[in-house]
Amino acid sequence: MIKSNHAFHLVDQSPWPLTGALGALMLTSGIVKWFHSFNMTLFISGLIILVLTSIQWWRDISRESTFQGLHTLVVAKGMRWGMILFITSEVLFFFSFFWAFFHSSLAPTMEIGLAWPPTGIQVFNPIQVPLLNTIILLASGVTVTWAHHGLMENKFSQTLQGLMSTVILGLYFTALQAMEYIEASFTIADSAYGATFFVATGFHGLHVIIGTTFLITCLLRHKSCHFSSTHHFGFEAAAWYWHFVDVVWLFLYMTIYWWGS
Amino acid sequence: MAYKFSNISGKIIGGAAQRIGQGIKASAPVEAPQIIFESSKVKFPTISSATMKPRKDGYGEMSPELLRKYAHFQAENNIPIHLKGGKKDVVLYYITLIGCAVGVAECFRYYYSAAPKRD
Repeated sequence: MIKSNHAFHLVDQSPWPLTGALGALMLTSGIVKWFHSFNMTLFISGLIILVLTSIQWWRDISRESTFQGLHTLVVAKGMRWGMILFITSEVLFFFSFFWAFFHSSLAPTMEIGLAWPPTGIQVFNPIQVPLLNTIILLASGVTVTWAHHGLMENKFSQTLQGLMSTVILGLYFTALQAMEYIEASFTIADSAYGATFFVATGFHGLHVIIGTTFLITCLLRHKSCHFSSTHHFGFEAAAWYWHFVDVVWLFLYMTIYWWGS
Repeated sequence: MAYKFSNISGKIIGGAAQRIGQGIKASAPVEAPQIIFESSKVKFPTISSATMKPRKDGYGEMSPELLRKYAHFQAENNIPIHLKGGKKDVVLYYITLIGCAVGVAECFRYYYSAAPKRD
């Protein structure tokens, strides 16, 4: 269906960048309104608009690639670079939270008892649920690789099983972390420990949820036969993101849960 | 037309050089050149019963639902991709648009109401 004499994809005019920007405006202004006027409506509306934008924008990309065949090799190459750069920016994002953790934990102040963990904080035992979570994410890395090889070798049901297992493991991790959060004896307000712990693991948890959603989307697309054995960049991007989430957890586990206990 | 170098502006002037960076001026629209393939044997695949049969290398038939989607989204009707799916697309688009309009209006209303009063 390519109607130009070059291999690049010049997209149709689309409203989603604008609605995304306006949704972000509503989200951020909504946070301010939430904090100052104790009213969450604007925040929730911003969230809904952003979710609607994401669904429709990515739906359009699937249409342009799978149904219209507009994603040539060079287009896919550009997308690979895009995903790599995005994940790199996320690495830098987490780097700042690790910096905050080491800043507080390497030289504990007088106010927290010159010790890490601070006096009075009951930390999680790293060899209990956190270790299980580590094993879950490592296993999910294996299952997503299984799914990828199944896809490349034209094995439809193995890919389905691999993806399904990865999603289930991702959901299991989220459920266990949620339980840990509920059972924690300390809160985000409990000294630098609580702050660094919940901000770092909280953002990680958000990324697990995003990664799981991406994988579920790939699962549904695979069931509808959108992927071919040679061209399936959406799946690869999801797998890269998932491995990134896994690696961040490994760092979190080793530093905050294990060294920091 | 020959290019000239202007010592005053340090730029090349004259002819087509003048139009660089000025945007595309109204000129006769040029047809994209015909793509010349390496041999006359190069053919684009078409959706037909031939492409739908199982192949020796293990690829199965294309499912009819997928082929229907192909045909639907490749129809030459100049509808942009975000509306090309049909009525559901239009409804979702208007919900998003109206949500944005109302939300942004509320944002500005909030900025006004949250600002300190001027005595």
